[in-house]
Amino acid sequence: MTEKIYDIIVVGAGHAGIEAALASARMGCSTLMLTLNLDHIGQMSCNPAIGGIGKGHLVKEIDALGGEMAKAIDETGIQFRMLNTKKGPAVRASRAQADKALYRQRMKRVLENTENLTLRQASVERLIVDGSVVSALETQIGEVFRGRKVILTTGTFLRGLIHVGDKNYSAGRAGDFAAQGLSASLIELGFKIGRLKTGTCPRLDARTIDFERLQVQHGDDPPAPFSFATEKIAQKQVPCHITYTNHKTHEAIRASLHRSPIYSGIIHSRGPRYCPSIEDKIVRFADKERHQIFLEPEGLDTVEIYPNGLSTSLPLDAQIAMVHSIEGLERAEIMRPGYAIEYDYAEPTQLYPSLETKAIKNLYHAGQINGTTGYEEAAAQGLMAGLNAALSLRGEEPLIFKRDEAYIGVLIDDLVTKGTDGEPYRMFTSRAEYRLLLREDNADLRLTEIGHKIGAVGEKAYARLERKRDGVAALLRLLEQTAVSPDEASGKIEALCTAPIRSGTTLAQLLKRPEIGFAELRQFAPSLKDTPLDIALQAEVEIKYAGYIDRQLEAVKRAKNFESMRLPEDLDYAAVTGLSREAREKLARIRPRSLGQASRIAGITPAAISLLSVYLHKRKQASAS
Amino acid sequence: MYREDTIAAVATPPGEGGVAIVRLSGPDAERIAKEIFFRAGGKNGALRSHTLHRGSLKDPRNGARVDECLAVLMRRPKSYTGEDVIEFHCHGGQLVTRRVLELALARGARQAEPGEFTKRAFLNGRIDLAQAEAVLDLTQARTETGMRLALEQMHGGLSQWVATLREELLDILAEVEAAIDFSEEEIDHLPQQNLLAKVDALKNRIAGILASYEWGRLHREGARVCIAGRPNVGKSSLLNALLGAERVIVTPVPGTTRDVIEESVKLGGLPVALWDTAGIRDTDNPIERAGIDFTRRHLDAADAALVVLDASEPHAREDEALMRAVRGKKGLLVLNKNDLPERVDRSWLAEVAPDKAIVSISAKSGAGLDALKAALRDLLLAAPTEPQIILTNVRHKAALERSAEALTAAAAGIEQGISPELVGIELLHAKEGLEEIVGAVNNESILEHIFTKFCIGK
Repeated sequence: MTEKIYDIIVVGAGHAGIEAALASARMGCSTLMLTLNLDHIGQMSCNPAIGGIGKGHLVKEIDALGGEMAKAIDETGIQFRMLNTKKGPAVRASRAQADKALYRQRMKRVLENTENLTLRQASVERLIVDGSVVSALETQIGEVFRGRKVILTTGTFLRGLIHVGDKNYSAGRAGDFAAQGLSASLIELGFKIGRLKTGTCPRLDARTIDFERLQVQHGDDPPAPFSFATEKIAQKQVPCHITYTNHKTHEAIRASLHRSPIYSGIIHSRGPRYCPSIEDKIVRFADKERHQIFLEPEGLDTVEIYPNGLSTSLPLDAQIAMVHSIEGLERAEIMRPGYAIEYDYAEPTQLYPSLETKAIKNLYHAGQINGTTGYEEAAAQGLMAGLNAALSLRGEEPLIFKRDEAYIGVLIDDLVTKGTDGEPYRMFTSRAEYRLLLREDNADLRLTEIGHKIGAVGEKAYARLERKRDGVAALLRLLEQTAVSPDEASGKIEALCTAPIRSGTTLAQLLKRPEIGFAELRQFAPSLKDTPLDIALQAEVEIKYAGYIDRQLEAVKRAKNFESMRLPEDLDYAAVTGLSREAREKLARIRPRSLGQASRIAGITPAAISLLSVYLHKRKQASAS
Repeated sequence: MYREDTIAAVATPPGEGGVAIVRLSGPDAERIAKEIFFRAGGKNGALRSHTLHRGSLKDPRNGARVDECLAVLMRRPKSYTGEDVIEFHCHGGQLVTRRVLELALARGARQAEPGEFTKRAFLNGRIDLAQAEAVLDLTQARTETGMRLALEQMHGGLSQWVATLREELLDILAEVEAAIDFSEEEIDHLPQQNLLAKVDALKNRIAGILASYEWGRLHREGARVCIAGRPNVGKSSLLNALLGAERVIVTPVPGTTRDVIEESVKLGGLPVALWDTAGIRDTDNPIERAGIDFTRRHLDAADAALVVLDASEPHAREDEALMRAVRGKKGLLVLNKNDLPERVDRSWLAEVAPDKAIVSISAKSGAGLDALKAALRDLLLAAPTEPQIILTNVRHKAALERSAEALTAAAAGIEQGISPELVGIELLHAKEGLEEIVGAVNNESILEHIFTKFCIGK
């Protein structure tokens, strides 16, 4: 037995594990990272891309809190696109194609160069627990690692089972072993373990694709980076291509549906509805004549192509027929078959908002083990688990973001309050009720100060935040105080197709007009031409959307009472008269921190909330007298 | 540790009746029942729930029999309040019920606050907020229609209707949200024009229901009608004629009625409070002045005015002042004394009060009174037939008004082409308004709508 006791042991080296281990080590904790395969650190098991709507928001927040994902994609991204550019700033989101191999290598390099961090290849089989406190891990070959905190980031590896047609085999993902023993260990400790399903596309050989006939999709020029620290994207940029399925494709799929593991009943667990397999799509939306397929390169130095939209678990011959029916892919060769994978997850309502499990002290769960899907969702949880484990070792309060502070707050609150309801959880902007406040562009303004305070964010990032904050304040002052006279505006204002001004008008008032953005404003005040873009954007958003933002802030304030009304950890729900048995059981299981959180539990009625508030009130009175 | 206490009250309306019910609700209800209720035939043991038991109520301190009665125990949660409830069906009459209630109070129950049983039913999740409010309306309803409205609402009429609207709103929200979260997907978005039409249609339906509030309010609270006119045109005679009895002093001395006199009549089921007021005229008499100010205030507060004129005389200067005072107010022009030759100038009336219909009557003979009653009822109830759903509660009205306003803002936003997440905010506000009526449901359901509607996922 090794005598060394690590502060924090992270099991898994995927997107959650990386952020957890880095956060932990950077907070000064001696950290051990265990992975099944040291060559596959930071592997993108599914599509070669980071970000997207709602997900880009998470990546920016991870960056604002000192995480690694944004920097890694900035360095290894080969096509960057800002999504929703025609919509308001709150729902604009970054997305980038990654060179998968470069991404992996870069992540491994960073981990290997981080102080306090040890990497080991090992397959963890068992948690060793003293009473209800985790103390060590035992591997497949009997090695024992001792640690004060353990963070499980097992991805799809827990009893992973891959399906292609009616064939199936045990694997964590194609090419990797599954973790067989750990689920049993968790079940033994009393965890409720469920099963989820997800899937991926076949990979195609670019040399056999007729790109000439397909629509090209280029990235933005210049590409906008994810990280607040990145000034410029240096990586070579490449295009994607777009093609479509057709009725021949749909016929081929229908003809083999009876051999699909899902439709033939081999797989019972549910996959995500927002990431359906192609066979799901043609069954559920039978009247749709075609489906879009994005052909995404997996890297610069490989011919492998990811046909985004063709996720499937049909037998290989059907996959081939399906691919060959598609324009441009008539001769395409499959390099790796698509497949579905089933894996174990632990219902996340078994966690505190710190991501520590309720049943076992010092044990944290992050990523797909919590029933989420997506690299970004995983990374966000990994980061929070790492930070909270480190804070706990210092004897400090955990970092828990409220729903009006961060998408991370929405994500974790949803997970620990509502659970997954049997479907992998993915972030959407519509999950955030205070969406206008939680923008990509202000992630640093929202979170970096907090990250700095706990030591997760370095001095350089903090100085950058202060510069931005001061810059925005100064610019807002300037815009409020600088007036333009009708004479100065004449000619320019007409050219912008906006109403003429009759008296002196401030730049801020002009900026409120829909026809005038910050770029146009520069015509009226030449001194604005040197204003950095990020500062200009902040000022523009704050002025243009002031009315809406104020309304959201008011809504936050209204909810605050509710959110700040704490429910004691030891509250005996059986003593609250009038609660239904169902409500009592749910509240006792989830143990919400506040009345606000309680109100978000599925099946908790407004009446139950009234009862709880009456009860809290009486209890307070009783203890006061 | 805090526990809900046990409350008791007479559940039937006060007054003489054959049977009266005393109800207890709370954790001690069954214990108290055991102490004061003795079953016929001396049978002991626990009372079976939801079964009528015959027996007598006795004061355990001295064994004195208070009443013979039927008792029914309803153990929680299957009771009105969701708590243990015991009801004693005793003989009617205030003396008996008061003694039964006192017995219960002496054994540890607390006199219930008005509406407290219903409040507990709500707090225990037995009924939703709209239903709870309907019960309170029911206990306060003044008319049969008012009572029926409350009953319908209690059985979920309004809740169901709001739930339907909410579903439709969720559908619209799904359209808007899908365009934001799945803008990269190739999904068939609803054209802006159709989206606008959907929002408008929803808004109009809410507006229609909002209009029914007035109908409901008038039936529940009764309408207030102010009889106004210069002195001695026959206002008090008209009131008497409408009431069918001599209640108001009628003298030929102008200015006799100084106070406002309120009397109630029913017009085809609609309760109407009639206010007979001091005549409006120029006067230096301070007491009479005060009466006239009072009149103006009542005019403002009334749902409608009956403007009485003396048909046998040309209009006077006070009539002109009166016409100004009732401008814009819902009302009828009542030409009294039609048994005398008509000398009032109708063309002048049409000019100064074009919005008001003229009804010619004789308060003395009763001629034209039926026509007046019919005209007044039609005037008060804008909708001639009863709307399908009727709003009766001011909180519901305020919530629906907020929804309607938010939908108006959403429609304006769509027309101006503002970004969909801003339209989404307005739609969410509209949804919150609806959810205030039946209680909130979480955000997840928008996504559910999106997933069933659109083929999502590359």
